[in-house]
Amino acid sequence: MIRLDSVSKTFTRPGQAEVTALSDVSLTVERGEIFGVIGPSGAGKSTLIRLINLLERPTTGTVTVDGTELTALPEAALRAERRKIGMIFQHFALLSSRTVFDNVALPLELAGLDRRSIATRVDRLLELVGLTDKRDRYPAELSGGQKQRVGVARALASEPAVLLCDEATSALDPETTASILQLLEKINRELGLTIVLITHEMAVIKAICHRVAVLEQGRVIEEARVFDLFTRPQTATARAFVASVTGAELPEALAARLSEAPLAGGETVLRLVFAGAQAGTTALGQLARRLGIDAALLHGRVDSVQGAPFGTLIVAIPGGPETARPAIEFLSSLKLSVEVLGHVPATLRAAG
Amino acid sequence: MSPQLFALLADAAWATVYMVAVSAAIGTLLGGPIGIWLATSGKGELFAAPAANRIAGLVVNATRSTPFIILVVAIIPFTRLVAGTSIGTTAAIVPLTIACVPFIARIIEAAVREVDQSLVEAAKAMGATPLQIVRKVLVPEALPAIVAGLTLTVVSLIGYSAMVGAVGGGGLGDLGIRYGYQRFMPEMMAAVVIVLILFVQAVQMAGDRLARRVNKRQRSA
Repeated sequence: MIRLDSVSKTFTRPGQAEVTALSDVSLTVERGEIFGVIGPSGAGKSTLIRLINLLERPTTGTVTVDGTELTALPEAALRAERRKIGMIFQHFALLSSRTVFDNVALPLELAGLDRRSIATRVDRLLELVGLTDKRDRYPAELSGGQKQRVGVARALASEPAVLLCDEATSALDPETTASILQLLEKINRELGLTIVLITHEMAVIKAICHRVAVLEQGRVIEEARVFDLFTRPQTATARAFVASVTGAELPEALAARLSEAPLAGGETVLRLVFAGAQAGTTALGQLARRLGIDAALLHGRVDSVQGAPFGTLIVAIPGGPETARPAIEFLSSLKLSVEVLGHVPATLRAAG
Repeated sequence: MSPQLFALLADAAWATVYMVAVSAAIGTLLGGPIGIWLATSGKGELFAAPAANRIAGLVVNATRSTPFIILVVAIIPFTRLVAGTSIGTTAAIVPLTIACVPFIARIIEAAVREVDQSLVEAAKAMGATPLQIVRKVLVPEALPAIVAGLTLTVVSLIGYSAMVGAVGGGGLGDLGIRYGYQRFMPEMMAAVVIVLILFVQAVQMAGDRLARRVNKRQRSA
């Protein structure tokens, strides 16, 4: 549905050094998919999503949406294609001078529809987003969540095939975020819309995305199904994002004493992530039986992504680095994601 | 005040209203588009033409830095060409208009520049043409600031109109100078000042009320 082919974007301002926002990014988003892009701020997320409808033109590379190469189109044809791509914004971008109804009607007015078909379609959209009673209110009279619902209705007005969400929930509180995400999921399910969203919050990815790309310093460093990213993150950045929502953090007293260097005779603290609810504890049993290593369980949690369960365990392996190495190899061979968090002296665990 | 003097005052008040209203109207028709264009023709903007933008900016500044009384006499040949005469109330409209066009252009430019760029981006994402963005987004969103700015312009024009007595333009200012000052009639001077104060108050109140009505940003529930 959407294909970015070796896209790069460099910003040049007179008197300043060139800034490379994106370098050589290639991505494919399938029809009907909810595709998330996550990255720390400054990673190039906003530029990336603006490339899809060519609000930013790539310096090199091509952008293809629904079989049409947008980068090859002249302005007028591009405007027509943009009507098939809806977009919602972090700060909603509603016209303060227009009522809710007239805001949603705007894209239809621009397309030259007659008054009556506009009214029919707008009223139907307001019903879809649950704002029929706010029809004649102005944006200043609405809450953040209601404004974003207007944004969604407006983006859907021209019946697009793709919806771009630019940090659409970042200005909202957690409860409102959840309701907007539910709305997006409903649209995806009922209208079959392809959705691309960018965010810096892993919770958003976890809640509704099917696939995800991790963006760092203008490059895609990881791309995976969301479940795979949670259970087998490949990069430190992805692991940090995953840890930010699975909450598999260390007990504080222990975290304070973690050292990066291995300690002879000390304990090695590992984070294990695995698909399914039981695989982790089974693996610890096998570790004890096969290698005679008794791992101590420090923290454990079962979570789910897209309805599929996965677990996170934090364990300490006693006996110094010599014991830890075979244990890590063994656990990895059982298809668990293993990450060394640090090392603590043997006596400290009891204290912690 | 004698009926004759009162008739003079009424005539002068009408002349002021006529000059200010016509020059403000023509000034808005000419200055509005220039202001919108100034706000949208910078580098990387909707109608990007940075060189022309800079030149237009210079012309606007030059007109604005010419003292009005000098402008009035300096453009007499042009006034004669446009109005057919260089003397009288109608002729005075020419320099008043020329003085307020750049003023209005700058005010509208500032108002349009205040519009949140994310709205322009959103409209582009909807497939809006640059002209549609001006008509449907920039002007309606800038309207409260435009109304406030035009109110200011009209008040300034009332002040300027006092100077067009120099070319026989008439009006309240002229009446004040000729009767109040040169013939030493303090009661006429006072009457002129009071009428001017009433005019300015009325314009300001009407402008404020209109600006509030078109501003949907802060609504008291």
